[in-house]
Amino acid sequence: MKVFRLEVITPERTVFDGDVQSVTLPAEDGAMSVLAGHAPLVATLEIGPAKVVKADGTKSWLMLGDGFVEVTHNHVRVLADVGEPEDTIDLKRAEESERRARERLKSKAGDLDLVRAEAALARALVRKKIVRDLRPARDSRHP
Amino acid sequence: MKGVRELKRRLKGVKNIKKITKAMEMVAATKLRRLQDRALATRPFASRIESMMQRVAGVADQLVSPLLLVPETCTAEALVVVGADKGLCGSYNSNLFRTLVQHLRAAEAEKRQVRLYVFGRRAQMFVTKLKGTDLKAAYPEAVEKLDYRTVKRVMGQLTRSFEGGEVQRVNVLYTRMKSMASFKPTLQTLLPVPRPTVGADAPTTDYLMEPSPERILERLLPRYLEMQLFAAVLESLASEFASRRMAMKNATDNADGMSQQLTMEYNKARQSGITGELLEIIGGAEALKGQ
Repeated sequence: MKVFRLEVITPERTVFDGDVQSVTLPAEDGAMSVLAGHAPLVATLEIGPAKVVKADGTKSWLMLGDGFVEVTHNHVRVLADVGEPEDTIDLKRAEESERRARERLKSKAGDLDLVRAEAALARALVRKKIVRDLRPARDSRHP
Repeated sequence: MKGVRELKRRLKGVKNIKKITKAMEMVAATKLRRLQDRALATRPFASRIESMMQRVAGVADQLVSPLLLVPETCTAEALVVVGADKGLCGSYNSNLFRTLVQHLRAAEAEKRQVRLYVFGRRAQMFVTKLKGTDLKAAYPEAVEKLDYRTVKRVMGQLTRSFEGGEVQRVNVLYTRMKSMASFKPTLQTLLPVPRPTVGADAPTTDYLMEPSPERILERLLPRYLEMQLFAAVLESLASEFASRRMAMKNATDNADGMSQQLTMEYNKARQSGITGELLEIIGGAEALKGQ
């Protein structure tokens, strides 16, 4: 299978840099998969899980904050506010931040806080989904 | 000649000060190194955002965004001042404050209101003491500890007050590091955003834009602004540390020179004391011999 280079860059560091077979991203218009030889593209991304199939065929997940993807000649760059590889996600912390975000939404503070709480909630839910559903599903298929 | 004991006391004092300045020099050097790593890590993101802006500019000829519009008149401006938390860093603070005062005077002459947003405790202290300033926000976080999220929040506030028409311009005053030994307070305009031009590495191929170039630009601009402000903060910090390291190195060198001078004086004083005593003894012995 043909591979291409994927970089996941956040403002504070590069989270992932390596050859992959494919990557599935949470684009604004819906999930989008990129394979080698994709046409040049710039798209906006939402908060969501990204699936990476590495060059050796192993799959892994990333939690992405909102951002962009830029596809050039066999080089995909993902620019996101936040990027967390699955092994850095902590379920307890995700649940904790989910609880906090829900509380803030309930308290109905200013509009701005609401937007931020919604984003925090969305991130927490993606983290939970990765740890609770996506990762176990993969691991049970390949014991 | 001063008393031997007095000299000894001063010598000890100078040596103690030297130890402190040496330690501060080393702390500043370490912090600077760590900061340079941090600044380096943000570079890929910043440069990609910029090249993406150019790419979008290359596709859409008529870019529309309220953030790109230059208001006709400017009666109020927001000014972000990136200062230091501490002193003892040479002329870093005073240079920044001088530029700030100049800018405020110029704005006053043009009848332009300036709303200040201040990072750094030292800068906050200075601004509070100034008369007739409009301090909108002072951020209690240590400048060193500022992360991208905080900067993003601040930039969001500023963008909203620009969009709401409360201010017609947003500037940032920070210290640019021209070299390891030369720092320059610099004023940069954040908003309105200078219209992106089609860069030299403009695409030769057509890019698919999803959902649309306008939407991408709408989401790119805030990121771009945050990165600009974040870069200003990091650059100011680097200037502060480098400036402090230099100031402390000079202080250490001065203390070195002084302690050498004092050691010499002390030795001379001690020697002349001994010589004096000897003369007295010899004189006394001679007097006894004569009897």
